[in-house]
Amino acid sequence: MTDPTNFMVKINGSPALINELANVANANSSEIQIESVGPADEVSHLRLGLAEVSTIITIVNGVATFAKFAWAIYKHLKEKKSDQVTVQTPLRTVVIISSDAVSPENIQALLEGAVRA
Amino acid sequence: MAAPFAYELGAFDPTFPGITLHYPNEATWKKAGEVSWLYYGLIGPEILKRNPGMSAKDLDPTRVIEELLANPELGIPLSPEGKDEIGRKFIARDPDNAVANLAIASATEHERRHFHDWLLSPYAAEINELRSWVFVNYGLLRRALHADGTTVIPVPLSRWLRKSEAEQQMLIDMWRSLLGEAERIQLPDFTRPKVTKTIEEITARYQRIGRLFEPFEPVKGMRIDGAAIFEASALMIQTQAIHDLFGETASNLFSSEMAGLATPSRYGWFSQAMVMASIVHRPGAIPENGAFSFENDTMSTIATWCLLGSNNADGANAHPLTRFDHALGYVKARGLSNLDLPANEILEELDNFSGVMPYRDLLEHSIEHFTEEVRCLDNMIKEKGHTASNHLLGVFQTQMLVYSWHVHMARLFMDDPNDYCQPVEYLDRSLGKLPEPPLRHTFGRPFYSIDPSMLDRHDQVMLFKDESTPDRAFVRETINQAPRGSLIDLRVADNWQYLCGLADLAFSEYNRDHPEIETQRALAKEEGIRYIEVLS
Repeated sequence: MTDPTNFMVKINGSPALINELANVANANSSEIQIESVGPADEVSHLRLGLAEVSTIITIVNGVATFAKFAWAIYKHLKEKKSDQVTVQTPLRTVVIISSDAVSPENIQALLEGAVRA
Repeated sequence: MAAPFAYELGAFDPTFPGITLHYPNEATWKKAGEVSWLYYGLIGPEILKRNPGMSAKDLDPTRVIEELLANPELGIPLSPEGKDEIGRKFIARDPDNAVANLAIASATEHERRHFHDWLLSPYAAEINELRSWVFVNYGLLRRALHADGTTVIPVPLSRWLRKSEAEQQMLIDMWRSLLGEAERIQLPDFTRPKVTKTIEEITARYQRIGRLFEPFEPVKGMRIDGAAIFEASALMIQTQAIHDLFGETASNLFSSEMAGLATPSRYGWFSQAMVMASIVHRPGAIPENGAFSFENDTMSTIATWCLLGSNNADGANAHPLTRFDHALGYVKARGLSNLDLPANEILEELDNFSGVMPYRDLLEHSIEHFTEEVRCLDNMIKEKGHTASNHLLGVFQTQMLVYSWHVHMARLFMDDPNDYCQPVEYLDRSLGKLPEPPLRHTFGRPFYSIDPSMLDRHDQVMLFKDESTPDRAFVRETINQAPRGSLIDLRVADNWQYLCGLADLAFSEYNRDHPEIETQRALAKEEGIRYIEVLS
């Protein structure tokens, strides 16, 4: 993490989406480094739901790199209308839902917003 | 086995003393509406008969709840066969999603039980007490963290303080690249002994709070936590609620699907373990078809007993999983089929078998402890009312009320444990007797819109601002107080949520995507302090 434009992103979503994002990261390993992938911590409240949630933590080389993830998230939310994706950056948390999947550009704008100072 | 439903339908979050029903999409919302209309259609004629001046159009949800709270004896006027027929038709309309639809239809009862269990359980009350003392300590710490020109606070603090100096420097470099060179990064001085000590104290309290949700692995590959006991209790009530409206076929379908779920789901494990314990010495008790049925009353009573532990009174036997382990031994020795007993007898047998402090003593101890706490806080407010900060006064007042809810619930339970433990009695008799929770509805997407003039029907409301227009308000969240029977003032619920959010932003290592954490982060930014997330 010597490049000062690098920053860390944590994404929670369905296992299928997280797998997809891991594939995207692996295919773009010069721009995205995976720090960890796996099941998300169990939430510490009681919920009536059975959704499995996984996490990917990556180090992303610059805001423009988000475009690689944006397409995968867009495609996933278009198909799975009940799913949501939570993106945590050092600066804030953004929840992306299927109505946000208007276009890959819209998803990218949301991702970029999550690191805007 | 495929999950019978794949999205979140409701939540009881101890940082909000109410219940949340979640509608991830329009289909879920419509299904919930369909069930409400079915219910009103069945119960409405009886309400109209009792209120000659009322017409069918007056029967809105609020009015129906008011009538139910005022007349708890109102029930579904159908025979068991009639209910079963409704249930079969309900399943047949959408067989692929039958279990999900039954879950939607009974989510309120599930979450309401969490709310009551949380208020009743001495173990949970002690978690609330830990949180309360965190609020007091954090009030002082927060002031120290914000002093001396601090611009950035890395959170959760405990995660930051575990990093080596080199790792911390790398993170600061990363933040600098995000914030730009123009923005000054000034961290608090974490070397001040008082700051370090307070952080350590609060972190230790958070670790104790988190024990309920810490996974435990009794056998390799099976991970469970104390929260699964709360889920078991809520599931028994939910199954009974389905039985009351949709009859036996539907409740059996729901119960068998949920009981069959493997870990990490929190739903199936309790009953699976109980049944295994029961048959281990009694292979003859296994029915030929392998489908072991159990008494909902017995299971619900055992789950409730597991929640009655207290660290203050009997620390070695306080955690719900420790008590569950005792209960397994008891079921192994007695066999589930021999436990068709009144709840108070099962509770007493469990006490005697396991040698723990009797449940009545635990509750008496808890009532005494929290009554004394309420008295002390009341005195402190009177004595320090003129000199204490608003933050401290708010904490004291909120603490006092949260403790008094527990005392109230524990006393109601002691009056008649059967009414609480047995699902039929709990559902039939608790209305108008037990406190009712504030009800929060959340919408995953902007699909539900109303005329803006109707917004004031809700006590609190949040909108999807981008989608809303002057003519249509797209609702993101509503909160409503129960029309009667609520002992929880929404302002106190708000205070509790605010204080939890404030402390969780700095300390919680879980649920970092909780909306309240984000709210607090945004508020701090307005004050010129950035709470920056340490993600791993």
